[in-house]
Amino acid sequence: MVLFVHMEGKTILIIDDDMAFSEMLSEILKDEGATVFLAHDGEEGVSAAEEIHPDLIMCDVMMPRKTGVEVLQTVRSSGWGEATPFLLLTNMNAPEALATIQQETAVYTDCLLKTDWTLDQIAAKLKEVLAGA
Amino acid sequence: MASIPHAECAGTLLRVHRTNTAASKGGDVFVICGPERNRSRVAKCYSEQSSSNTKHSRPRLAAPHRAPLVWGPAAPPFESSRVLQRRNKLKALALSLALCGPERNRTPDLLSANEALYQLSYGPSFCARHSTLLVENEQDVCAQWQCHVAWLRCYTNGTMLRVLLSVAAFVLTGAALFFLYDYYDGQRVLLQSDHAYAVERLDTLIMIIVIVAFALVVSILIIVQLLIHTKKIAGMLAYSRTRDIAYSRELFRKFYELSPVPYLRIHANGVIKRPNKASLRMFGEDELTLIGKQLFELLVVPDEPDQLRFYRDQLQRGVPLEQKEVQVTLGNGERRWVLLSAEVLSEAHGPEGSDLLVTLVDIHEQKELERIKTEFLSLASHQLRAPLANLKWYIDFLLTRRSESLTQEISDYLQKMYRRNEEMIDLVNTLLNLSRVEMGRIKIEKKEADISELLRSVVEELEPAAHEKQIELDVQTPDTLMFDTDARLVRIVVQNLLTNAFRYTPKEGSVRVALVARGSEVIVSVADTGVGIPAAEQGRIFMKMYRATNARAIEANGNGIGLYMCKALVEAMGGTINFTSTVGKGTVFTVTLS
Repeated sequence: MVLFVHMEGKTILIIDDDMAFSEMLSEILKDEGATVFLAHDGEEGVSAAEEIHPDLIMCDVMMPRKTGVEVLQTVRSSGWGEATPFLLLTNMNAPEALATIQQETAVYTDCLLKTDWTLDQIAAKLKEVLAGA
Repeated sequence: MASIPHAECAGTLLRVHRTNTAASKGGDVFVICGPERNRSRVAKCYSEQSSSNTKHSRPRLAAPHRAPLVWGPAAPPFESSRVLQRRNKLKALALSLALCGPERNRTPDLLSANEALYQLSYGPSFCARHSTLLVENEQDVCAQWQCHVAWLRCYTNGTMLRVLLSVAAFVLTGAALFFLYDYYDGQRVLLQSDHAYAVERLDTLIMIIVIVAFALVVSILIIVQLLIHTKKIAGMLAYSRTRDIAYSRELFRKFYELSPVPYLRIHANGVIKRPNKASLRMFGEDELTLIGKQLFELLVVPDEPDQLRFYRDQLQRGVPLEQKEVQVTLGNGERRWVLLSAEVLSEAHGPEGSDLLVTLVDIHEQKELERIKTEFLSLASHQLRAPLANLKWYIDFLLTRRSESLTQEISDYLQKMYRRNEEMIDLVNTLLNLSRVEMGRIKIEKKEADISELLRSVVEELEPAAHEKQIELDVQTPDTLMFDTDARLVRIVVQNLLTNAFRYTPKEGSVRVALVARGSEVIVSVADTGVGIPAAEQGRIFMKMYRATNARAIEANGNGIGLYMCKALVEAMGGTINFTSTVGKGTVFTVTLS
């Protein structure tokens, strides 16, 4: 069964302090042919993003050194990252996280609750986000 | 009470000499009485006078925070100058004791003031019985006045009545005798000679005068006796009345002082006037530090700074405050949660308006426990989700991406694991939602949504459970029904109601879901042919963690959170939730959203 389509040549950056989760996600995305980079905290994520200018960033919200919201702000304020698709993945309740983000940054982004999504759904979502970019 | 100082009355200014020379190093004590407007003038005059006279040490004046001890109101009109003088003397004695105390360095002693007053009024025996009373302010003087008033009224009214009766009796006796005589005289005037008539008339008149004089003496004696008697009765009445007042006041004061609830009496402007023992304990301060502080400056309403001003306005309009959650700053700077209630004491008028009775019930521990509990729940749910999400995605990955390398057996087990994991995620989500409801963190985000579609998707999602038990499912919804609401919350509510309906409906029962629009309202009803809710338990069914006894008997799973949360969510959206239920026949839940 092919879940992820047209991932070849895409660079995806996953920023998450939950190693197990990010490694598993990277395995799945690599299977689809995407080039995946991992970062385990906010600071590391920002420097990696600046270096590689990924096509898509998937980022946790609650992380050490820099929260997902701060990473989003940094990426959006940099010249290259204004339109880079950015997905927030969290175990926090999505509505609150989203509300906080919108209040603090006035930058809209999708915030997904990890447990709410199956692989099929996340695949559709990634496709949609990458297509929109 | 061995050394009551001698006092001299001098109009509104009283000079009190102390008899105990050892204790009078500070010089004479001047006590200022009289109406409010005169006090500052007299105080100023005396302070100037004393500074010009260096021989005498500066007189001590009643300090502002001792204001309640400086007796305020002017004398009532009925009092004679003698009574006034006596009252001032009492005050002076009480004050001198209160301000100086029998020992040096003693704080103003209200008890001594009281004792002095009562000792002088009623003698040592009365004082001994009521020595625990506190004389604090003008109200207590009023009690004294009341005593005088009772005495005077009783004396005047009773005596006047008796005097009038005696005089009337006297006049009537005289008049009756005169008319009697005149009648007989008219009969006899025709029969008697002039001389004999004149002599007899004189004799009779003398006799009448003697009789009247005798009656007069008897009347006077009666009046005197009555006067003495009335005075006694008036004294007794006044005594018993004062004793009653004293008793009820003592009772009230004991309740006030010893109550475990912190009470404060404050001025209308918010200045603390009289804290009770519990409030002193709570603030961790002594009486002198706390009295005079602005209560409203010590109160904080976190996140809503305007709320406090609103409460103040409300009180100024005379509207009582009931159980408002505020934080109070204690003596050591710590802030504690309290329930603030305040009532206007309409009878106690100060110069700035009515006094207020304030209660501060400490609910800090409760609030802390609540916060810790909800925070723990929120954190725990968040931490629980992380491994569950990993597990979910790994199993999903194996089932969807590695299915070809799995045997049927492994695949079955993985599916079971996936389902169990989903149940766990549901439970964690429920707990998290619950903690959000309880922390008041649920944000209502109303957006136009198709309720019909939402309802159908929930039914579709939960249909497998109905199929499993062969429950007949009837869904009656319009094709589309756009409504301004928070679809996310409505979904949680409908999910809960449907899950309950499927769970508690026996095999081959039926569940009917209906959606109707009525005016600006939308009504969702979920009817089942389940076990029903026992009538005796219907009042508790929306309580947290409560499960009906018959529900517990047939289904071990269930946490008693669903309906509690439904109610909280529906009410947060401004709707209502109701039900009708008959045991053995079924239950209909109706949610009205507006």
